[in-house]
Amino acid sequence: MKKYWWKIACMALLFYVLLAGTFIPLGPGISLVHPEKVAAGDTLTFYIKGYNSHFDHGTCPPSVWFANAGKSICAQSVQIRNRTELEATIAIPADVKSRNFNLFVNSCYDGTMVLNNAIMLAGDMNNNATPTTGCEVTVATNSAGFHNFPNREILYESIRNLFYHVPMWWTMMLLFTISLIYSVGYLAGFNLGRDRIAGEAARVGIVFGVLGLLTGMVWAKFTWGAWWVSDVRLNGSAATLLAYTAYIVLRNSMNEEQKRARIAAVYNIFAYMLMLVLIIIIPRLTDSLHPGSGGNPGFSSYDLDHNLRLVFYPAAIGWMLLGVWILQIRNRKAKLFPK
Amino acid sequence: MKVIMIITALMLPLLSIASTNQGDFFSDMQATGKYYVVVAVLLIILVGIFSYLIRLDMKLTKLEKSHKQED
Repeated sequence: MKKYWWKIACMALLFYVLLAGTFIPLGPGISLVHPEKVAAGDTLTFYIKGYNSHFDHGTCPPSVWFANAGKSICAQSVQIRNRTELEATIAIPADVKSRNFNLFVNSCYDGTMVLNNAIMLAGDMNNNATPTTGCEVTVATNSAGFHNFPNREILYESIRNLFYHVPMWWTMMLLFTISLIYSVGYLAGFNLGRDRIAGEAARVGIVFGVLGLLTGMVWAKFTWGAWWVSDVRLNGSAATLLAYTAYIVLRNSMNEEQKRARIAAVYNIFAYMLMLVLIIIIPRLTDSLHPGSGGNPGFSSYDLDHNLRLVFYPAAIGWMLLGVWILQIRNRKAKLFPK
Repeated sequence: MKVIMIITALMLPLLSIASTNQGDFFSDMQATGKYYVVVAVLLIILVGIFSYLIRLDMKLTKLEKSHKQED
């Protein structure tokens, strides 16, 4: 039983990740505003729909305003319908300076919520209109969102994929690193047992890489709008998987054990370096849609908040342990039944 | 045959969900805050890992059988 502790830890971590990743709610935000098109000088009643918001909670009524070119346009009256719906009557001044309006809702309970480019100006801007002054607004910190995952535009609930998509790649990299270590180990002593582990680790690593690719494609479809974009990070990860598939093909193409082990070990070192360049170095040098590019690491304090970390790190460890577990089973099989 | 019937039985609730979905599936997904993306991603991972493990299991069973015959 003593040998099973890390497998039990793997299961416990993944159970925790599934539960916490499913049931921790997203922070409050604005999901919809209607109408979306306005003309300068209009006075309109806007219907505003919140997501996980608490408009009817808190000690003060929520205040609503638009920000247009740095100027605030406050609501004349705000009517709360229920927890997630409210109506605000707002007069659009004649002298607006920008076509895009950002919507702000400040509630004592939820803090300040923003919907960028919430409405658009239809028709022409009147440059000769008499200038008006903006209103005074206060911005509050988000107190109710303290135990929530961040509510980001475009991502919304799919931010939870961080616990499933990213650890696939971490697990793949761990398994490829194990593969490299055993390949180098083989070259140091020509022990065929080490070569066997190197081969098996690469095979399991490819499985996790393919899962990372597929989950990434689904996530991309519903956030970026396409299954695949020609992006350095995406193409780099696909090329890495091809390089490792070539490693497996190379292994299978040779019958003589020592020769196969030697050539495969040397190729494995090359494939690992290729992976480092393709998915770690190049994406950091160029711009990319994918987080973790253009000089930014994937996990800055801005990208990954405290609540996400509390689930993400257990997720990464849990999935990596699962990868090692599968590797162990494969290795035991290969040891008992050599081809 | 049995396996196919069980899988079909498990798929029935899914079909009923799909048929009640009157609007465009993609716009519905926006309304629910893209939660179905997470479900899809989890399904891909679980189906992927389990089918891999089943394949490994079947290979091992085959090897064990041929091993017994050798003895």
